[in-house]
Amino acid sequence: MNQERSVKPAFYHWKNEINLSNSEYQYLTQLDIKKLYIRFFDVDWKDNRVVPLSVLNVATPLPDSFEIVPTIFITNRTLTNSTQSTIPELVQNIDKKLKQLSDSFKHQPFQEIQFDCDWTQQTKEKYFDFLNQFKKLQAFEHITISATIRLHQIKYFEKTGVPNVDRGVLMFYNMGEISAPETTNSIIDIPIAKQYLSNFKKYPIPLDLALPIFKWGIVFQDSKFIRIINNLDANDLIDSSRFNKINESRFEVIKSTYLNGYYLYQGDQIRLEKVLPNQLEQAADLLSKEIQTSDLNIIFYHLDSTLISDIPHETLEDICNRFH
Amino acid sequence: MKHWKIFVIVFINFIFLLSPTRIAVGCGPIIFFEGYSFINPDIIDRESPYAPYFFYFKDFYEHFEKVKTIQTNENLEEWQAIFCEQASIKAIGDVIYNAPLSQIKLLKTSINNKKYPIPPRLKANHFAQHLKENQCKYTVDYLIFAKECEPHVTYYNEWENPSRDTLRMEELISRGKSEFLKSKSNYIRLRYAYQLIRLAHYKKNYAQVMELHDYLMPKIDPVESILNYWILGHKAGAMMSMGDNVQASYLFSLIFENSASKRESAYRSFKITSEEEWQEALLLCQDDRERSTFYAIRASSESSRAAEEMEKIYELYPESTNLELLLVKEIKKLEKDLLGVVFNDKSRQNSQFYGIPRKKAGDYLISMQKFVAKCVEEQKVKNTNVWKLADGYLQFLAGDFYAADKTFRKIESDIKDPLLLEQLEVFRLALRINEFEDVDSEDEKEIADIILDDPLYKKYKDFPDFMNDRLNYVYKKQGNPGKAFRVHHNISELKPNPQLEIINDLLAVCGKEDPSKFERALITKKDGTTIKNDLLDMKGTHFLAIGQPEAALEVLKRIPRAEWNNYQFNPFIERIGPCIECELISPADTMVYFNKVEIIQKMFELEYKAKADYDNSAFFYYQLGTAHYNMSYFGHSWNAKDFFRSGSNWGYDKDGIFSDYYSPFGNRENQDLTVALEYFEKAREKASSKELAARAAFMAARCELNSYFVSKESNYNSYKNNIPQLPAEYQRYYQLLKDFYSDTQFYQDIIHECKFFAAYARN
Repeated sequence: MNQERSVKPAFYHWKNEINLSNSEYQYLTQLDIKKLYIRFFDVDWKDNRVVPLSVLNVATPLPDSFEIVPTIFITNRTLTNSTQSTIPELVQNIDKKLKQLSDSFKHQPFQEIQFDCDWTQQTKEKYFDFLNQFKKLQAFEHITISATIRLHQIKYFEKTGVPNVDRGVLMFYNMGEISAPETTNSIIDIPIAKQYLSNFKKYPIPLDLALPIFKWGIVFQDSKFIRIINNLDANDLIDSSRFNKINESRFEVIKSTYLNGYYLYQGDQIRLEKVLPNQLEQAADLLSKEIQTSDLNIIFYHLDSTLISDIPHETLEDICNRFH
Repeated sequence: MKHWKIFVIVFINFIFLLSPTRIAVGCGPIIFFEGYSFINPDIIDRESPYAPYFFYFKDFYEHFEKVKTIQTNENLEEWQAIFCEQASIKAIGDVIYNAPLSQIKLLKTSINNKKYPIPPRLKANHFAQHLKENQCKYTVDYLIFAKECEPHVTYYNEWENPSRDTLRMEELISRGKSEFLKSKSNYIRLRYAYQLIRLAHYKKNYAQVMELHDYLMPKIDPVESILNYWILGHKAGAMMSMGDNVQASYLFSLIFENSASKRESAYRSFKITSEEEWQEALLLCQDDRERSTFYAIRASSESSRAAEEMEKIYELYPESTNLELLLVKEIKKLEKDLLGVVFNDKSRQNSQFYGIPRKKAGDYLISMQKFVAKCVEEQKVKNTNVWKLADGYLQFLAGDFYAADKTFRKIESDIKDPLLLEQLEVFRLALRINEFEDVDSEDEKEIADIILDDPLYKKYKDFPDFMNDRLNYVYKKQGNPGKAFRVHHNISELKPNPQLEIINDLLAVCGKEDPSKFERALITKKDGTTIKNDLLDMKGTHFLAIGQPEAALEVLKRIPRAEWNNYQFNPFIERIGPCIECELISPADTMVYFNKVEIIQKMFELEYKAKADYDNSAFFYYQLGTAHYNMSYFGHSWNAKDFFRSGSNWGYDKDGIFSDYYSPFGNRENQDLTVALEYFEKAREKASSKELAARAAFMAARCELNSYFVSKESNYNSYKNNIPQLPAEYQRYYQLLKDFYSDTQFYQDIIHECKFFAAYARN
């Protein structure tokens, strides 16, 4: 980039209820964050119909100074089970739900709406059709519509297609095969990412960037993926009467027990995954050369007291500075 | 004659039973787990009406309607019992669920005033008549109240704002309280209590739920009713919402154990998150039976290793029906891991996509066997015969077929229950199929009898797969690849890439003087004829495709002459432009068709003439080149050497074999143009006419161009019209045309007709 670009940090809020803690407010202030991408609801296929799930509850309103970007996650199975003829109904329903929820943000008119979807080649046509129809809704005529983009969808954009939206957000995480026991870190894997760093210059829409700061544990039973336990780290597995440390990131349950609300059986294995500051730095150094956007939003996933307590705000500040 | 007809019908059905069914697929296959299961959950179903939910919690949403039905039925049956069965379930249902509020109000007027008749819609309804005759005012008042509550407590469209009219709900609660106190019927009071507590719950006023519960319930004499658990469910839900997981989960466990209609929702609401909560909740239990339910709920999770909980349940309450439910659930998992894993042809994909068999399945089986053996020995469980059956089946799954057989024989006389006896026979049939080794004609007779006559083989849907997979494995092992192929595939699935060893094996069966009934089924088509001629056609065509016309001729001649003309072609017709599906007949042509035998004979004749008639040899070589080109993937007579051609096969092949979902050996395409090109080159060399030489050079150039299109280095896409860059080594004949034949008429014609050539000529 020849000219100085503007880089704005932001956060995803991915919980069902808005009720920010003091530490979260403080963290946002320290990073001078003015924009929050808030998951308003998920759209999923249940009981043989498309339904909104995990609908946001605003327990404590946010200060008006925040710009809110409603973010809607659409599961791929929603699209798999939809037909071209039911897409208009999906558009209408999402529009309706958005309007209902916008009552809680009366003083924060939306400038952008984001859709997150793990679309595949099989569902691409329906998803793109959905976006096209949504864009045509009068209420959103002057609003930026953005959509999440996966790494491979940039490298192979000529094959995978590009959604007809105003901006894309590159999700720079969930790179590895989470359910494979041999994976070391499915959240972020710089060598894998490097293989996909091409075609950014040719990508036809401006890209923002989503970076991970989350952690989790992946539970395997007989080498079979069982579940994810969010926010898990080694401190939760310190009890040697229940857990045996195999290495830094792998533990075995030696006595059946509850862990963060889940019952695990003797013999189950847990793979811990997290993002280290140096991985974020490497990501920033790689991506700063590739991403061409002049007004770049860097959105950290996601706002949570436990997660931010692991990462000093200066680290995220430094990450953003690497894009200048 | 009649018997003969019956035999034909049965035999054709037999062939049909052997034919694998193709599943409908879209663009590509969806990989499902594929294994077998022979345990019938119904062996415990009759004892416990809740059993299906135990197995299929994960499919809850598919069973949603069933749950609703159970709830409705339970409710109606209870109404019927309360009213001493004075009306049918249907009549009660019509009043309670179907009649609108206005009709119930008119019914009330009719009860209050004898002059007024029962409203027209309910006039013939026995329940309505009973209510009027017996002056059941309180009941009708309750029904009116329940109808008024209904809109506030029923399903809403999730896309709409769930704005409930809380003021109206509060009014109803207040009115309901007074009606409750007025009512003299203990049962109607219970119904009011349910309505009021439910209203408060839907209002999300959890404290009010508790208040109402504590206020109303002591005013009702204990009465056996499904409503007790429905009310308990709302109380537990409110407690859970107020953060009291332990108390709430205890209540949900009671509902789980006692209420069929609320069992699933209780399971889903049960939430214990830590060891401390678990211990606290166990302390709330009144007895070991209640404690055992806690373990049963925990074991119901899809990812449970239920052996641990089963031991606990057995320790606490060995006669628990839940123990048998869990036994079947675990056996179903072990079946996936171990049953037929040696011969299951989908083992690889099961492992790749589902991690099945589980790595420690063997250890888990051993622990389960120990536990089952203990249950059999101590005889404390509810139905020992279920455990005895499980004991034998686990021995079978463990690979100890001798012990399994012995166990099954031993328990035969103990079992009297018809369903358990059926289960025993199913296990024995599976064991018998599993034991087939070195299949001979005696075995084949037995196999045919099983397939045709055994009712259990037909009833249990996994038997055909189990049988076919076992036979496929055994036949392969004993050197019968043809038979092995046929138990899994239709003969047409061999055509995209014929395999000689399979064809020869099946031809040997066709040649048998007295094939077994099973063998006859393998080689007989639905029209009653055999596959012999199809096999010979496939074999001959294959020889022709791989450049062995002499061998091809000998094989094809073994097909009865009358059938030679079933398929005819004319590969000797020349087409300059691309022509795969084009119409060959044109005014200038006098069309002559050849069958495959005649094609080979004609080619031999041309070969001879090319060598014998020196002056005209170029023309004969050109005809031979044309025939080879037209019978290749790129020509109009491709089906003289092949049976299946995909228009998209221009790359991604492995040694000329393209993947094809419907063919186990892929699809072989005849894309090698070496022989055609050699003939065109000979024609060019020997041509005394420059026009013919130019024509031969052009056809050789087409051979090079097509060879490039299907080469590894090409990224040519047949669906795009772009003219590809042609590497120099594939341009030799275009260059030749340009350098030596540009003065021919043919050159002038072709440069206008062929865009590719025009483009190359310009460069």
